[in-house]
Amino acid sequence: MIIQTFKVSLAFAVLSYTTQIHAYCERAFEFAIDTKTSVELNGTKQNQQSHLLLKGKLALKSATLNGESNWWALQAHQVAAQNGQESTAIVQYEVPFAFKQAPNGELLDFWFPSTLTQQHKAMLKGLAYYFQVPRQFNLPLVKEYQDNLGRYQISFAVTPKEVSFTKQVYLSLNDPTIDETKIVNSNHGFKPDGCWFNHSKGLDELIVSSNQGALNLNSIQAYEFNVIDPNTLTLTNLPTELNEWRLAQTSLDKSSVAQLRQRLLELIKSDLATFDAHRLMLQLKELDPVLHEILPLFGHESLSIKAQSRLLQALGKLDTHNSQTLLVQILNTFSSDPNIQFQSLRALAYGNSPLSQNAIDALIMTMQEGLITKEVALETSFYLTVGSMIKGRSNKSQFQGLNNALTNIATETQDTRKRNAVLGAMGNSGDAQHVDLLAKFATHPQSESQTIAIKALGRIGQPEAKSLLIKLLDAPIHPKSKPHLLTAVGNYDLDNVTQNRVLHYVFESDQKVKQAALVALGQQTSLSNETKASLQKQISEEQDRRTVQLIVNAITKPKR
Amino acid sequence: MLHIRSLLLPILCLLLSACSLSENDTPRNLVITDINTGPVVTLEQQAPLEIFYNLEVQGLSNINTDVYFYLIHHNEIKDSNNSNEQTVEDIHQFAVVSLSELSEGNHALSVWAELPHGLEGGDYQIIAHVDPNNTVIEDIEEDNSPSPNYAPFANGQYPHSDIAIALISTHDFSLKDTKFGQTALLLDAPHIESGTSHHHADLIGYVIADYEGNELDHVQLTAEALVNGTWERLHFWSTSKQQYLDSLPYLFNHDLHDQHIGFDIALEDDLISALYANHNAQEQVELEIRFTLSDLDAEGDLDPSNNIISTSIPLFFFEGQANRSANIKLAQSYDKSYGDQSKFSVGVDLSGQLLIVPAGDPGARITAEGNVEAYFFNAQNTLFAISYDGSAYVSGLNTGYSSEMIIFNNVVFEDESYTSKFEKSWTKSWEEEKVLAKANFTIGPIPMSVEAGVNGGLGFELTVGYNAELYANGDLFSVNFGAFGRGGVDLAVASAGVQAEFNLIDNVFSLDSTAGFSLTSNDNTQPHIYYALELSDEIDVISGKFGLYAETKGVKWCKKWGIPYPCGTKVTRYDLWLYQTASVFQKSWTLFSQEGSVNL
Repeated sequence: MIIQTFKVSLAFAVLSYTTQIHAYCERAFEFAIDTKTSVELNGTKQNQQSHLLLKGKLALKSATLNGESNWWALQAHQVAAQNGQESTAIVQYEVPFAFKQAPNGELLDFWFPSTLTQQHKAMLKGLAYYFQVPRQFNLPLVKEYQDNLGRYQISFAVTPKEVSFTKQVYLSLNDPTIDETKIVNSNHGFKPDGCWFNHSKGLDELIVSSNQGALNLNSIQAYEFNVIDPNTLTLTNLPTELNEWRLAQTSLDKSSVAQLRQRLLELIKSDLATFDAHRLMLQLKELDPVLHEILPLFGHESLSIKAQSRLLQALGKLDTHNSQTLLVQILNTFSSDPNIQFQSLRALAYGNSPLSQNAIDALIMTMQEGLITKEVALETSFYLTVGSMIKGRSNKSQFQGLNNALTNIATETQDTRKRNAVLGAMGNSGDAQHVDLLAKFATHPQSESQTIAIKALGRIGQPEAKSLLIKLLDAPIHPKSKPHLLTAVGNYDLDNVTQNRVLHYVFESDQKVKQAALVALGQQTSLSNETKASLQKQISEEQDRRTVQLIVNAITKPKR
Repeated sequence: MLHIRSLLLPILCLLLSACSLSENDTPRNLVITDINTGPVVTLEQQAPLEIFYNLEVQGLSNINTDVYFYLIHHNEIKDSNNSNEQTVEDIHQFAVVSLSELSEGNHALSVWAELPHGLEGGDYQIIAHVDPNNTVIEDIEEDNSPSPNYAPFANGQYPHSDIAIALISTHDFSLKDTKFGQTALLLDAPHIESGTSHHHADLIGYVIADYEGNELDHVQLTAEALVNGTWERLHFWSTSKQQYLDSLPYLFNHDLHDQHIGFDIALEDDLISALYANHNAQEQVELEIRFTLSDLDAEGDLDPSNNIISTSIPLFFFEGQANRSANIKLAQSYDKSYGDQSKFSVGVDLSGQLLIVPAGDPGARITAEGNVEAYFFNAQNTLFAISYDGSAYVSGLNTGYSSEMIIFNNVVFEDESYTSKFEKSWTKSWEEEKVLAKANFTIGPIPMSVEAGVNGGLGFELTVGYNAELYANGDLFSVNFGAFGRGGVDLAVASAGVQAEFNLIDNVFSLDSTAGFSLTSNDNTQPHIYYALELSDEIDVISGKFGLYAETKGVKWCKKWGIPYPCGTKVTRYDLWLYQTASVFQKSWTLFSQEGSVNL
């Protein structure tokens, strides 16, 4: 025991001494990351695994961000997927970036030199997380770290030869589509060198579950890092201050643009209808800087209707700033072709990445000036689609301009059709700021917009909207709005008292009202036995088959 | 300083692996030295089997490596005199083991594997290939698998185990489960005029069946309902014959367990009359149904006792109370779901109506509605919903229309207009894709992405109007969605994930409806309202296959002198179909057709 303690203390002493020797922690490593995955669908596992062996080198050096230290720049080189003698370069990993590290080893923040997709950032962060190891051992060791999957508990064991650790359990997960991440096996070890390590090795076996366990990914990932001569790599040419990095990739030179343009023209000339939308999207991804060149090709006789349709769908799936801007331009340019306009609206409704400011500004202008189109119904679709986009996209804080435009049009326009479209858009948006204005129209029996406003309150999904709709059950409303009120109320979970109020409408003579009340009850998560008994009795009183079907559905359908 | 430095170095070496504190002359090598299956000699296809093997790790420590096990037919390697290199065809990779942190020394290990299907019977060898991807640097690589170039392995002396595989000629079918695509059975009472000459799709659902064995004969599925104490035959829709028949023929698929057999069942009129005669509307009544799977080769099925499954469904009747008003209503609806909600299912809810009001403020109303919902892994999604409601009255009150279209839970179109005359025509067709199930995440630096969803086309072509005649004609909607699956490791180099060749729904719901005033006509000298409603549907749902795949760059095997050996790489695609079902529901039928007139 005494000898053991002596050895450990000596190890710490050596470490702090080596910390002084290696204060300038520029390092280079070669690495191998071996990942085997198999997919499990509905409980059935593949016997085969896909196998990816990633090899490469990387360099680390200290950096500052706005003068703040504790930042480390990392750049990988010669990264390739290896299979026996063959290798395929994966250049996405070679973007230089930086991470900020606390003395306890935790990576606190990341910095990237250009706009990258979430997935690209996660790939790079994944390389950085291998350096998330304690850097000082005179402090208590952490109990939790974070990685791409989430926050996990970690347990260390320090011996004179090496530090080993295991991931114990994930405490929280980053991605809402993941239900659970189970750690089947975890074993890691590294030999500290005062900065990070000169050798590290480890393995994690995980089961990542999603879709209530219907779709699982089983993964075994092993890695090894070994230190190499730092002079072999080029990261040293980049400035220490991250804001001073000027990387060539941020703008293409003329010849690269010309090449991309040529590739785009060749792609458009090929039979696009033979590509499925996903494959076409992957082709367009590489041609993103020149997408605007597609605009004049639309409507041209060389592009068949099917090809146009496929192209629009692919642009929607691509969902980059350039494709979003292009789709809004197509919407506004092709006023004589309602089919193209409609399909571009569908494409805009598809994505959920943040909308570019260009696209937002263009949409606001179109909303204010009105969509020029041959088909009046399309203008309605335009506003409704804007509402869906507000709900479906992730940069909601940037949408106040769109929300303001909706409010202004609703309050100022004399055109009932336009007003109805905008109120419908508010319902699609799911944004609580519109409830008061919708309420104003919903509570006005003489208003031509009462029905639409009631329907919008049914869709908006906000508690204030639910309370208002329930109050309206007793208020005077236009008879043609009543069935829509019942359908709207039914979109919310109702307590027994409100369900009883809805039940009374089942006994009315107006079939529309009766059926709307039944649809509302059919959507509830549970109905009381008394309600079910009343409905069962009503079956033999009904002369309309559809009504009987709705009663049967309400009594027997399993609830959500 | 020198003293400290010389003291430090050996201590540093405690921490740093770069130092070699002792000489190590043993060549670095991984080799399998023995493979055996214990006392098992003869196995049946798809049987589980434990493989015992010894792995020697020499000159290496703390290494990770894989071992792949193969079955090679004896016929491939019986010719020990042939010195030409030839490709081995009948070789199956059937087990993969990943080993980690192996220390130096001999390791006695074992792995359970399942014999793959599709083997010919006969004698096989089990061989192994350690470190197939060459990730461990060794001084001796030739002994990682059988090899004609490694002298100790000559004359068949490489590690292997001999087994015999017998193909069982018998089989056993069994029915495991059944589910309906509706929560209740709602039948028309015998006195109700349904507007069509025969029933369609009273009961939609599926059974899950399984098999053991090799020789899979044709089977047939029959169904019966318990009516007044007697089991009465029900009838199945036949896609190939486009009519209802006594039974549903089926051919089992070798690759698949949990086979999904969909059915569309109609009840005959006299059966419905017999059920109605004893029906009490005030009581909760359940109709008992049983399904039987019969091997058409009467002696083939080893155990017929597991071929019957019973279930029940709540039963209701639409009595259609006497019309207390002079109004005439022509209407029909259809509400069913197809497929397995825990995997994929699609539901259609269609309805159409023509209401004539001949007295008071004479007029008419046409409504049509279609909803298509899908379940992907138990999660419900509204794919598409469209509705139209048009009416016209002599007074001009309540004359106009309203319509709405919802795509993927979002209202995309809504319109209403109340006016004395109107005519509208909506024609659109477009493509859509929606991801309904997905997992996107990154493990270490490796991105993973698996998605499943629907893609296809939607459209509608409807003309409606009122100008002395109220009419609505055309396709309320047409939808054609396939299910797609894709993904796995999300880098271009590695390929595995979900795949689909699957038709989720192909449906066109059409209506043709008119109502108008006429002072006289060829058939009628009195002023009257004439009317007509025809609703028809063309449907084809839930057919195709859905599953997993892995494209692996695997080992290509050759042989020389009766010795198999790795001779390169080849891409092998492994498909694992989890859901495979033939087109069972394809039909085109008239939901309702009636016309007439009523004097004013």
